[in-house]
Amino acid sequence: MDIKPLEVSVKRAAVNNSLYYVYTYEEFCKYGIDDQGSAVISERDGKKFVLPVKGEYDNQVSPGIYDAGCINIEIFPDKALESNYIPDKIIQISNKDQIKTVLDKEKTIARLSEPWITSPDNITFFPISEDDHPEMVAMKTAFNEKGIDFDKYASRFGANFPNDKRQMKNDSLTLNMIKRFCDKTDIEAILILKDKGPDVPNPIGREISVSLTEDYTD
Amino acid sequence: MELNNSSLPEMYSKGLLEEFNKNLSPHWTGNVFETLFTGAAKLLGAAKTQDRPVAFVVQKLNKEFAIAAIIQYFEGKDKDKVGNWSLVWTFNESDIPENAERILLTDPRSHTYFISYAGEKFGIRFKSDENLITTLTYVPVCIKKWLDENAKEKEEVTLELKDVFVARVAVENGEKVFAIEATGESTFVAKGDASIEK
Repeated sequence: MDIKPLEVSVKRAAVNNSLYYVYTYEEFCKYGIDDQGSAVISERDGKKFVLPVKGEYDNQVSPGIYDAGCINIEIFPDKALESNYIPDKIIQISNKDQIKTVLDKEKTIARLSEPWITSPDNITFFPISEDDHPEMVAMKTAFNEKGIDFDKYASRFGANFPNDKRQMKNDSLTLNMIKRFCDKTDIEAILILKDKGPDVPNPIGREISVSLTEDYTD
Repeated sequence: MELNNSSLPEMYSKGLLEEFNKNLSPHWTGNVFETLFTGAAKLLGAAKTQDRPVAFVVQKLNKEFAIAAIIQYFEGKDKDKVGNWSLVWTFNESDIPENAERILLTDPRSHTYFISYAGEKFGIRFKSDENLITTLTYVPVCIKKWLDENAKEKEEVTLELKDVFVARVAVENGEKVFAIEATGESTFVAKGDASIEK
């Protein structure tokens, strides 16, 4: 008897700097998917969003799909963050694909998981997430406004460049990393210490400003 | 009594769990109730015809009648005057005109109106058609149950979800008389503008 092999396929997409297995809403409900590395395609105002699976609903506001008993709750991103949840592409890999096709798709998926976007003219753009701490927002904004090909600075960072660059995947940066990034990309970082307000007890009474990058050494 | 200040959200949530094994926090009660009334209004707004009345009918799982919304066109008194659309909700099946076209909640074609309203307004997605039917069918059952349990002699008791519906019960000659009407957006969503449609 000729039994045709079962076709198994998975879809992957990167949104908000993370890589997810992607399902339709029907698949998500049918298979009871609750793995937090999963996401669901959902349409709103004609746009296709990929919403991460977030578990049980408890008044959260972060974009995603939440379990609320016999219903699910979808929270879509605000307009300003919409692009973080609309993937550039959704890659589908099937066991029926040729091996070369699988390898090509795997490479594409690996690139999807990078938190930065490189334009055709090699300008690196770091999307800002709502979870980013202020120092990360400042660092990403500075890099984005410089409009550089980040990889061209690799020699300045040395052998540790891939690890350094991966720090931009996080939502916060240590002071040491800020110093290192700024120093290697010709940015001066200034730390200012001052009173929080005019009425604080034991005021400093002035601003203390120091450059973190002036005498920086690795 | 305003629905969210009443015991109804707890009653609805508890009933869904005990009778149908459906888990839904009382927090969502108002949103699900609004979905039924406004979704039905949108459905009737799309299905209405001047030729005959159209009734949206909710039956309990045992096929017993629960509630209906009927939209009907009444001609203007003078031939050159436009008529009016009437939208009526009722707990009595006998209020549905004999020539009315009936659309049941169990008809999957009706679901798109409830799904889109719940999704766009509240971010709610039903996990299955069966969940949609059960949660929405239990809305009128629960309203009537609450009215029945709270009815008082010589006093009309009301239950209101602001801009969605007002339900009433009065005791007349020892018998409880139930009534319900839609309010707010859903009424003009269903009726539209007859002068434009003519």
